[in-house]
Formats: sequence, structure tokens, C-alpha cells
Amino acid sequence: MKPIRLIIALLMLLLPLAARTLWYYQGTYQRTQPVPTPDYMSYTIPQPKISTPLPAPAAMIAGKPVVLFDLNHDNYYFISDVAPLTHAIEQLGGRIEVNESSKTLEDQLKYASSLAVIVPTSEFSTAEILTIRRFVDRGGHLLVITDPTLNIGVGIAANPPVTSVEVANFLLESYDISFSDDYVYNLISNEGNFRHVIFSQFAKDPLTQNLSKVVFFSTHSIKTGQPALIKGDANSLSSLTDAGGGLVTATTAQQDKVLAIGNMTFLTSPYDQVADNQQLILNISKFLISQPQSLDLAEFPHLLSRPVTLLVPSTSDAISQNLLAALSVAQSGFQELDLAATLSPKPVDGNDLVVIATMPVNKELQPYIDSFKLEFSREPAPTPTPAALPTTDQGLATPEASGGGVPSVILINYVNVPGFGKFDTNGLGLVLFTPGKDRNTLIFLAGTASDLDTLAGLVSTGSLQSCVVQGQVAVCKLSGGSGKGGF
Amino acid sequence: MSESTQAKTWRFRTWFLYVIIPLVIGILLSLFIQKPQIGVITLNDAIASSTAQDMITQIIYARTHPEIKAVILVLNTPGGTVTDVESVYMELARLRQTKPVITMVEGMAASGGYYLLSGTDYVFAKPSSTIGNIGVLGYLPTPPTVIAGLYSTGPYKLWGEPQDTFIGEMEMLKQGFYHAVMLGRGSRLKAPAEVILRGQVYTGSDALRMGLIDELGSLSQAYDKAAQMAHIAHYQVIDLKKPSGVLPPAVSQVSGFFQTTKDGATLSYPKDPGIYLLYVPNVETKP
Repeated sequence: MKPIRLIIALLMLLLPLAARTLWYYQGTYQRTQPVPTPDYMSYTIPQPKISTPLPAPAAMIAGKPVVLFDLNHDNYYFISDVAPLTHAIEQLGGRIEVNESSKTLEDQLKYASSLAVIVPTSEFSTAEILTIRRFVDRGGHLLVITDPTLNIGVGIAANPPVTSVEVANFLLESYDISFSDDYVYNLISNEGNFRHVIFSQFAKDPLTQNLSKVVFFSTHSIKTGQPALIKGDANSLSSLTDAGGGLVTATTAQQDKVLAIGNMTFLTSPYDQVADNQQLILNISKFLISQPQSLDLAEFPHLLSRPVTLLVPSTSDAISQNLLAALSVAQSGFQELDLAATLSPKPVDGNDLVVIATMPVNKELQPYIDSFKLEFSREPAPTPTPAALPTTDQGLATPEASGGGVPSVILINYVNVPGFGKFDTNGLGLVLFTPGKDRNTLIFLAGTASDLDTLAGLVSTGSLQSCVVQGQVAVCKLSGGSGKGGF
Repeated sequence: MSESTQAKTWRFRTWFLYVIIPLVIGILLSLFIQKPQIGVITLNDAIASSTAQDMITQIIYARTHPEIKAVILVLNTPGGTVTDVESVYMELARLRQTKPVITMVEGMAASGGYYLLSGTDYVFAKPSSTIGNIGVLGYLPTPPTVIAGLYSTGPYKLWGEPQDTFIGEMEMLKQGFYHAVMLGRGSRLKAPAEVILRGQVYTGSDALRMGLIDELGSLSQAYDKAAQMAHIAHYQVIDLKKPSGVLPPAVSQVSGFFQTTKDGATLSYPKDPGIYLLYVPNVETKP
């Protein structure tokens, strides 16, 4: 057998194999490197940095300033949700009250030191907004908070739902503050999640005292012409534009009387424990319990916040029955306002003072009304026409009046109230108010002793509707008098 | 028999013995060389335990059958549970050691779908396909509490973990997802981390510009690419469901995966608490 034949046979054998192989396969698939997969073991859970809880703060003020929480606008939270804030307010000596439909906002703002509006989802009326503006104008504090996770309208079909951002922006329109309908995120530096934004840029302000870093777990950005109170770093972006840098998330306006924050979660547990959130809550609590800078009679009867001293004469003179009745009425009225009222011949430190007296006031009480520059006088009554002769006593009769034969001359007590004019004191009442840092003083002056209790009763009625109010003076008509006098 | 006839007979025998017979034997033997196959694995649903198991069965079949030279993954999925996505991803990694895997995105490869896609060798999509949504989502676990009639031996025995740990876990899983994308796409990925980690979805065209996919094309182009990468020609395309024994479902296998309304409509949100690699489109009902 020739080898050539064997080779041919072998080639013939391999030919179809090679042909079929080449028909289907033009090479072999070979991976040069192993397929890389993530090293799952190298990934770790970023742990949030828990801050050390602050010690309980000492009470700041003797009075019990009221922080009014609005719950009358479909607010998308329960008061218990913000327990870290309410707890801090109470620890500092404040009192929490909620605004519900049983009382009007105007009535409650008369005595509140601040109003907290948190995630409202139904609109404020124009009247309410004007009331709030007046409240802020006279020194009340306004806190407005929204939150992207709670920006949900809950209106009914007849009243289409609005978001809390829309409601809050309407409320804050006059303060040049507007929440953006977005959320802020930071992919580079955050607290465990892109929407947990770390803020470390603070304006120098009591509200940012002792803060180095706060974490908002979902926050709106704020557009404002006011200086930023808290703002994000260059990597904090708005979800609306995926742009930003330095986005503002908290700001103040109206000389620090209005505070707007785009996040609520930091007020809730357990987020209040992260970073310096607790310190921020404490600062906000101090802001909320700051007393309004100016009080005027428009807030009557909510002018006093401390226990009340009802001043009684220190002389040996017996307290008249009329004065006693008036003191009793006043005491009841202040108790209705949750203010303890006690009698004392002298002002008591730490208490507010109430003076009840007839006009003209005696020397002992004169110092309390000096600042009002009231002028008392006793003058003959104008000569009446026969038809208009008085049928009842209008004043104290002169000795001559009791005699016979000589034409009677009736003397009448007048009071000249600067800014108002001169009034016959008969049937007249004056309410005077002197606010002070250490003590507020409320003075009731009646023309006659019999009108004292009527005047003191204004505390219970809670209104000066029968009076003309101007600044810190109210002139009231209490009973039938000559009605003479004028501006 | 003449001498010439004898010589002819001898030559014929020689030809028959050394040419024809070996040739016939060679032809017969060549029939044992199988026609190369490209296996197709189709996922047209969310990635839950049932769909993931079906995919894994098909992937294992493809890996263990030498006639399958390449695999095409045809995806139309919004993603699914983290565990199921990772299970399929790891099986794909084993398969890719021996065979090229090409992805064809039909409607959507979002979130967990993109996780799988990033673990394949080449990616085709339609210009309007929905691609991306790289990230993790989950329902926060219930805050721990105690129940009068139910005792446990630790504060998280009933509730699993604290809420902030859960959020941290999500971040950890996101890191894994991102690195899977980085490793899978390598230098082809043009978009920076801060862009793709926003979790945005992109059209196929945009995804191509960002390097999230390799080419816009059709399924037949995907076959050709698979053949090219596997160095085969005249291939056969087979659906791997049948040979691997996976039965086509009568109804959606993951009908219990999504929330449903009282009137039976399926929502886009998963029913059970947990962590998901899932795209939840901003619509009320799932098509």
C-alpha cells in the first residue's frame, strides 16, 4: 500500500468534516479575561450620624407665651407629629394652642406670641391673611413650614385641591418669600440618601446659633429677596431643573418676624436627633416664644400674660362696695383668660398690674396715668335750654345747688384725653394700657363708682366694641350720661 | 478478463477504497458536527421569583449545551426585586465566560432590567425604547413596636431592621448597581456617575449618546452581532424556553407582584414591602 493512497483516503475522510466545520464556524469564541462582577462585600451601609441629645432647656420667661398652631387649613399633619418642637416650646415656658374652628384666628392672635402654619392645604381667606399681617406688624412671629413629602392637596370637588406650597406662597406673598414646588437633592454629599440633604451654610442669626450641620430629609427650595438663613452647598440641586447650587431652604423676613422653612421632617422623630437638628428646633422654639414687641389695646383683653395684681388702695380707706364688685368682676374675667388675679396694695414683681378707679384719680394712682397726660377738670355745666333741662343728676351739685332761691349751678367733672378731646366723665369709662418689659399695666377708669363693675366687665366680654380705641387708650360709653364733650 | 479490464477494475477499487469510502465516512461523520445555535431568552415581565427562575433555567441550559454558541436576551421589563435581579445577573456572568450574550431591548430595560443588560456583551435597542432608571427603591419598614400577644427575642425580630439601616442598605445596593454598570459598560459609558445615578429613564437614542447601549437596531441585527461575536455562520435561532423545559405561562407569572385595585386593575407599584430595582412609571395603571 502506497502511503499516498492513505493520505488521500485520510483527506477524503476529513474533507466533509472540514467543509461543514468551516461552513458553520469561522473561529472560536474565547474570552481573554474573566467576566468582572461587582465586589459586593466591599460595599457598606453608610450609617447616619446621630447627634447627642441636648439637655432640657431651662424655662426662658416667666409668662406663658402662647404658640398658636394652625390646624384650620387642612394641615397635613398631626400636632403630635411635631412633638420635638412642641416639647421644646413647653420646656422653655411656652404654651401650645391650636387654631380650630371654635375660635377665630383674630381672637387667638390677640394673645399669641407666634403663629405656626405647617403644611396647610386649604387656602387662607383674605381676611385671615390681613389678620396675620397685622399680627406680624405688631411684632408677632410667623413660622411657615412646607414639605415636599406632604405637598398634597386634600380639597373636595367643589373646592379643587391646592398644594401646601400654593397656600404658603399666598400667605407669604407680601414678605417676598416663595417656596418652589420642588425638592432639593444632593448626589455628592448627603446623609445616606440623595434627598437627605446636609446643610452647613448658615447666616449669622439667633436662629442659627450653635449650628454646624443640619439635615433635612426632604425640603423645598425657597425663592426670596431676603437673605438666606440656611442654604445648601454647590451640589444641592433642585428637582425642577436639576440645577441650583446654594439653594435656600430657610429664610426670614420682616426683621426676623417671619420664618419660612421648606422642610418639616426635621421636626419629627427620629429625624430631630440627626446632626444639629435638635439645636435648630431649640432655636426655633426660642423664636416662637419671643413675646411680641408691641402690644396695644387692639389685643384687649389679651394684654396680660403674667399673673395679675389687682391694685387696691393702700390707705386706710375702706374698699367701697362698688370697687369690690368691680374687682370681683375683673378677677373672674382674668380667670377666664387663665390668669390668676390677686389683690395687693402694691405692684408685685413678676406680675402684671390692673388698676380700677374712678375719675379723677387720687394722688396714689396718679403715677400710673401720668404718661397719658389726662387732664381732669370740674366746670359748670353749659346753660341748658328749658326744654333740655336735666331730669337726673349729671354731676355733683354745688352747695349753692342745694340751697333755695339762688339759681342752681351744676358742676360737672370733665376729662381731657389727648387725641380724643374733652369728655363729661359721667357714664364714661377709660381703658388705658402701658406695656412694659417687666410689667404690663391695664387701667380702668370710670366716671362714677357705679360704672366700675361695668367697665371691669369688659374683661369678660373680651371686646372694646362699645369704645373708641386709639393707640393705648380706649374711651367707652358705659351708661346714660350727658354725652357731652367732644373731640 | 483482459489485462486492461483488470487494470480498470483495480483502479476503480483503489478509488472506491481510498476516495469514495473515506469521503462517505467523512460526510457521515460531519453530520455529527451540529449546526450552531443562537439561543433566545425573552423576558416580557417584571423580574420576580418565577420569571427569574425561568430565565436562570434557560441560561443554565445555554451554558451546558455546546451547540448554543451565543445567547440573545430580549428584554421588555421594568425590573423587579433586588434578589431576583442579582440571581439572574450572576448566572449571566457565568454564561458569558463561555459564550457571548447580546441584549435586544424591545420596549423597556429599566432599573433591574438595565442591571441585567449591563451584564451582557453588546446591547441593541430601539430608538424609542425606555432605558436606564438606575437606582433602588423600597418601602420603609414598619417602625418597631410591641404587640400584646406576640413575643419575640429581639427588637427587630418582628420588624427586620431600623428604618435608617434600611435606607442605608438601599444606598449600598445602589453602589453595587452602579459598579455593575461601570464594570459592564466600561469605557463605553460616556455619562458621569452624577448623571446616571439620578435614576432618569432615557430613550434608546439618548441612551446610545450616553453610552448606556451600543447600537440602535433590530432583532435580526442582534442575531448577526451574536453570530459575529461567536464566530459562527449559517446558524439556527432557537427559543430556549422549549428545550430547557420552561413552559409559557398561561397568564402573567408576576400577577401577584404588583398592587391591584379593588376592581382588578394592576398598579405599577410592587405589592410587598422590600427593596426593588424597579421602574415605577408615573401612571396609575400598568399597561
